[in-house]
Amino acid sequence: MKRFSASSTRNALIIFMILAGIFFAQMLWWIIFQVRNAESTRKYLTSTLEDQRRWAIELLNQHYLSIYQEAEGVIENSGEMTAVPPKFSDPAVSGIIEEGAAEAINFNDSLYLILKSDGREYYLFLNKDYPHSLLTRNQKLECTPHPPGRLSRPDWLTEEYVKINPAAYASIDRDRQRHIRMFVMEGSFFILLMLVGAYMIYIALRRTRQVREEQLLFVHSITHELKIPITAISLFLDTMKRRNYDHDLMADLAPKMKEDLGRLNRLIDNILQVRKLSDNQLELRLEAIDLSSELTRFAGHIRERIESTGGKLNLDIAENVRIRGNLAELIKVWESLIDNSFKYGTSGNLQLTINLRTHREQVEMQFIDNGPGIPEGMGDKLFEPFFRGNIESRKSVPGSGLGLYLAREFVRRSKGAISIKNAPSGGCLVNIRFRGAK
Amino acid sequence: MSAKRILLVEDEKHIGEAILLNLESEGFEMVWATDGNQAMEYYGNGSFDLIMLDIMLPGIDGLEICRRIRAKLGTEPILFLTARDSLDDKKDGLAIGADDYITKPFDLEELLLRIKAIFRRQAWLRSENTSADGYKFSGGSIDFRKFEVESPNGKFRLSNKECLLLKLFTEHQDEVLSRNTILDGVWGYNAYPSSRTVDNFILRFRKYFEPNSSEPIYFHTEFGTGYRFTPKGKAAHD
Repeated sequence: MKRFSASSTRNALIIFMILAGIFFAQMLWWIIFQVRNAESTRKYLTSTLEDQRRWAIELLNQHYLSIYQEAEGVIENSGEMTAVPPKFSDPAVSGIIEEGAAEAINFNDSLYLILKSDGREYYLFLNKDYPHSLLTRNQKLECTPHPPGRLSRPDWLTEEYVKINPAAYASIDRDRQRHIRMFVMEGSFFILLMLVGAYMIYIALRRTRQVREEQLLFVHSITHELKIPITAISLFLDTMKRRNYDHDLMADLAPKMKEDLGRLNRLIDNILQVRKLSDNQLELRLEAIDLSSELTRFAGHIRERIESTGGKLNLDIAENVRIRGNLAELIKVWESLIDNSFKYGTSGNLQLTINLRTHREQVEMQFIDNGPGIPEGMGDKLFEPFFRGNIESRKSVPGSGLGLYLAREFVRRSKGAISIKNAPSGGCLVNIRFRGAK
Repeated sequence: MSAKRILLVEDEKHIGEAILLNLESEGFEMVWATDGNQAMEYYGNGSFDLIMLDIMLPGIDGLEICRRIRAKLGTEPILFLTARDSLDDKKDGLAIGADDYITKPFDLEELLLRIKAIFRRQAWLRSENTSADGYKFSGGSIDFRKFEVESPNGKFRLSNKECLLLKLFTEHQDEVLSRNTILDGVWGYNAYPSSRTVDNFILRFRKYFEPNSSEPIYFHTEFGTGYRFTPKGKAAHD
């Protein structure tokens, strides 16, 4: 069963890895595709800019004659400053106008603007509708009479006079980078999403496996716990037979067998109680309890067990401490704590301290032993059903993993709280708190 | 002959008491440890003819005790007493050198029979026809007292079981030993090892002694019948 679960988990993991690989490759391809796409868009836009530039040059050259005549006409009618239309709101234009050294010539909202400065210097600016192309600033254009019979003059404006606006390049690059950034972000977001999903699936799988393992361990532990008293009783019976049912021997062994049967019975009770608790079938009866005298009486019972194995029991029990709770259940809690101290403690010299104190309204009960204590950071987990500390102690220490779970449930039913930690002296310290009753 | 000393490692009070009560009346000298640390302490301070180990123990568990004893080259027979009976646990126990395995709950008679079988095998291993200088054949030499073999392939330490099986072979030279004879002689009447277990032992012996383990001349597998040891060295199909 174990092997099966391990291999099914491994298969799930393999399938998952394959899917994750495909998804990851898809994402990667998508990002690469988008980056390449952005690059080709950039190339296209750049070549459009160059087309426009070439087109502007051609157009201006074709209009050479009319530009020239226009300029000449303006020069002749000089003295009037034409307002610069907003299309030509190039800072260079306004700069020249502010210097007062030039006159703007509006050429019917068309492609270009001619500025005349002192003398016969002309500056040509492109219409804002062609923002990507720039005429070289401050480039004087010499207006010379056109060759006879020729309207166009290809050599008038050469390529070097018209440049592409670097801002246009920059804007294309900016767009491209923005796109790539967007795709990378989206891609990473999807990958992140996938990883989160993968992690959640992993957690769920692990939890399932843990539950299954806990249950297997539980069955294992229960079986072990059941077999111990059965083995002991069986051996005692075999011994009696071998000794021909000797009366003295039987008198000696009978109480031990009775004790083993009690142990079996307690285990079965525990299992039943866990079941009832989880089905909410256990009736809750709270009664007034004189905790001081009940705990003293309980201590009397366990003293013999502790001292017969070379241990020592220290008591510090305040008098007249009363609470409302369920005595039978609380005694089970105490028994289970003592059992744990025996089971997990050092063999033989168990030093157990039981304290009962009141603290204003609070009643505090402590069980402190001199065992190895509990593993770091394990406190609350020990109260979970079937939880039995670390794997090593599960293997080597018998137990059903129900004792502390039942203890916590019973303490809660008596409106108390139980916690476990390591005592400053090194052993295990169990603290049970109740609200006191008058 | 002095009483056999047995180290019992068992944390359950009643089971321990019952075993002690009966084994002491059988004339064994019993030492009882109730946890792993105590067991290692007693083991370090005395010599024992048998160690009975529970697996689930406070402190060091039984498998670990067995491992440590074998690591110290202790050759005492080890009998596991445990409530665990899954196949994996048996394999674990055998792999680290346990001699026998009994699962709880067990009958007292069965336990006594197993203990006696272990002692019988040990006695046979040390019987007078085992010469003090060991056994020599053309493949090498075997020292049954020191649990050692020496051959052109090197010097090897034997486990108790290997020693018993080699002894069985040397006492039945050139004969075909059936699987059942081997199981009875080495593992006792409750023969749980499968034939594969015996095969594994044969493979190990070939590693110890054979010049070429794929063409054995000393340790032969006779298909369908059993195994044969030919000390003079002989190819399988002569």
